[in-house]
Amino acid sequence: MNAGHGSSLPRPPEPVRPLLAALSEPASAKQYDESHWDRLIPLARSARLLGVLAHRVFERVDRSSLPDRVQRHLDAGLIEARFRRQKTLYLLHTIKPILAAHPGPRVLLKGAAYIAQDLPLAHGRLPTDVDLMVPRASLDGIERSLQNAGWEFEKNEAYDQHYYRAWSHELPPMIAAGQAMELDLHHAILPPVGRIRPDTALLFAEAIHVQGSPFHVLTPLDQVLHAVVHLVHDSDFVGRLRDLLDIDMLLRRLPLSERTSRAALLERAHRHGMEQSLHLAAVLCRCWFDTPGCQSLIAETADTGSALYGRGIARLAGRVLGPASTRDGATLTKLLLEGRSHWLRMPPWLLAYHAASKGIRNLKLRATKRERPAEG
Amino acid sequence: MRIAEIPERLLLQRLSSEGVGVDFGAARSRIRTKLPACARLIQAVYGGYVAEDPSGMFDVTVDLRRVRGIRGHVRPQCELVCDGIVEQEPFPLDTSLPLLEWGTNFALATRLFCYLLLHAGVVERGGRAIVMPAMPGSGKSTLTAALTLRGFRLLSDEFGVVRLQDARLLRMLRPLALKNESIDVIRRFESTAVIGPRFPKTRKGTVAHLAPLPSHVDARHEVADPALVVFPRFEPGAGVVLEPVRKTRAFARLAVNSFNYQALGPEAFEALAQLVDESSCWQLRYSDLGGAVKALGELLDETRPTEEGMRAVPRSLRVASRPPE
Amino acid sequence: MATKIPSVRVRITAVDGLLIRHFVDEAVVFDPVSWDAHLLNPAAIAVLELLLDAPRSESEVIEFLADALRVEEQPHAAAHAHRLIGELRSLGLIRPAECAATNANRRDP
Repeated sequence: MNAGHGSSLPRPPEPVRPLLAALSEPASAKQYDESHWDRLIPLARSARLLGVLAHRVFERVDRSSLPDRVQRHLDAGLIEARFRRQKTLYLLHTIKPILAAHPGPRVLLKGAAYIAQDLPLAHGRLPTDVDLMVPRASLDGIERSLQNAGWEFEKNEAYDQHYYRAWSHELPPMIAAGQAMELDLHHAILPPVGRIRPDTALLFAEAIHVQGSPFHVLTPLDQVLHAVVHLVHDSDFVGRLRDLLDIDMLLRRLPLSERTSRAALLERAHRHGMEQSLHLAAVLCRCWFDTPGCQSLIAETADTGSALYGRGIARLAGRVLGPASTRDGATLTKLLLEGRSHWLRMPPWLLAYHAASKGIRNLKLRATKRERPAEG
Repeated sequence: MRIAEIPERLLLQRLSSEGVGVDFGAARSRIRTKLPACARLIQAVYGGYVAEDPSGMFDVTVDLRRVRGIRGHVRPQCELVCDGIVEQEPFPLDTSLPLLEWGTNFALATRLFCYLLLHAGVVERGGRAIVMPAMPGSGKSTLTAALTLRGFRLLSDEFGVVRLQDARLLRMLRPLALKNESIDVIRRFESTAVIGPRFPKTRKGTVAHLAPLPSHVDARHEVADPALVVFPRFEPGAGVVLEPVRKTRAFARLAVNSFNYQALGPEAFEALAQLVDESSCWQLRYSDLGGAVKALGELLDETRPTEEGMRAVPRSLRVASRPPE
Repeated sequence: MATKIPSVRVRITAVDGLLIRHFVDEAVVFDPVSWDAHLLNPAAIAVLELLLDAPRSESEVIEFLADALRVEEQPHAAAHAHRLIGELRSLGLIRPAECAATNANRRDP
């Protein structure tokens, strides 16, 4: 990776830059010619950001100045986002009575929260599931009530169930007839055996009630930090540009550019043990979105860990954040990051056990595939 | 210039570099491939299409390429890539055309949320469309093919493209996929039909593609009014039987047989209701293909809107011909 | 501040935002909350449109249906109405007509 800035921060790969430019300067879409759109729309779509792009462009550019074909694709992005939003609201509407009997709070996380709060961040966004965090003590009761109401677990294999319940912070995803979205029940935001131990009690205690609903959401600071660890600590970065954009928008909302907001964010990160993750996220946001206030945040978190390691990870992450068409191989990078993500999530002895079982299961799967008659 | 008129070598050269554009009507696709066999197949089945300038904007770009790696030598395969993603299992290298067709259909069906996409064969005559939802065993493709060979013009054999604003039918003109017995049926029905090579042992059986007529390709930007919704069912020994279907039932069956009705919400509801409102809805059971084509033509004529805008109501049950010996 | 309403006079109303398209004597209706579409027969449409017009009690619905039924069916009007109301409610197309403040709950998460 080449260093475009005065600092040695890695620049995003060239193939993804048209998307970043369009997102940060949507008004310039007026001047795009057809071959630019031809490149940009598939790029945005494969990054799951077509709806977000559409929202930003339509806010700034008069629709009639865009070619019909472009309008159709941007509309398609908004339509898909509207569908997901609708299905999220419908799921929440359906589970409200089921949850009522159990002590709360019922804290919506990530996409479902952004929708419930009607944040600008939610516009054009494509949530994949509904994340709900409830107190550990209520979890079993809620699980039973949901099952009585027709909800089922998607993963039924005994090993996965065991893994989720014993070691993870969430149950396996639940599905129900008539529901297009999955429900992910959490009792914390990170695995209890991981290297970062957030103050879960604090998350619950300060959660904010959503007016006119039985749900809560995390405080703005906690929402930032959750998004940060979700990307930096709980993922392998591959194709996660959308998640980084969420962080960028949550930071702008604080706003990060204000010194007091930064101080509060740092203090909170310290409370949850997330300073190093925050530093890494800040480096990435600076490189990819030039989020106002990031430069200062990077400096203010510089002593939280090895700067070299941080830049190293940022460099690797940068190579795989974008959609598939911008990644061009990077297989080794992906392997390294996947390894890192497992390492972060579990203590070494558990990691070895998990990897060994998964390895054995994969071998079994491959064997059965070979037995199937050759198709086509 | 039509694709059929491009010298084979030049076509391959263009497919291998900037690609070749084709316009289906409601959408345009850019095709790229370096596979010579695939280029020849494209020429055979897309011959009537104009080769569009590949430098503009396209709704989808599909790359057909050889699968790399060890697999590629032991059992040569090809894959279709769209937006950097390989959406489906690879196909054997010698079935690149079915892969192109099914892969392109999939790419279109999952991206065009700007239209309501029914899963149906659609033809028209005089600007009035017959929408034939595709159920397994319906013989929809056979019937659609036969109609296009008897004076009806093809809109699509796979996608009923409904414009959301006004429920008009748009064209998504693609080569028509015939499967198994229907290949021979159509060959017998019309000896001048341009049918591409057979591909045995695909996951849908043997498949061959009927090239759209150049005059149908030329009409790709014409819009049609909904007139008939017909649920076909091939039934040995049935002859030709047409029975009316309640509009609420037709609505439900159309919605269920669609690619994206669920995702479009209120606009899809309104557009589909409008389409059904303007159409006369029927169930067709048939074993006599020629008889079915004739019956549909008569039905279309009988349901011509009168001056008051009311639909003439045909007889409630029709048996148009005895089953053939 | 909810007023206690005696149960025999509990009123029912159609939910907000329904889209209804008629085909001769039947209709399809779109529920904007679930995005489901339902097929309704003439009796169901009549009851739904009555409730769209204004909230009614169950006894008013029975009276309305009785007028529309043939003489020999009229003794069954109550049973028909009860069944129809039950079905429309389970489809989510009608609900009890509460005071305005609580109506908003239907839409919020």
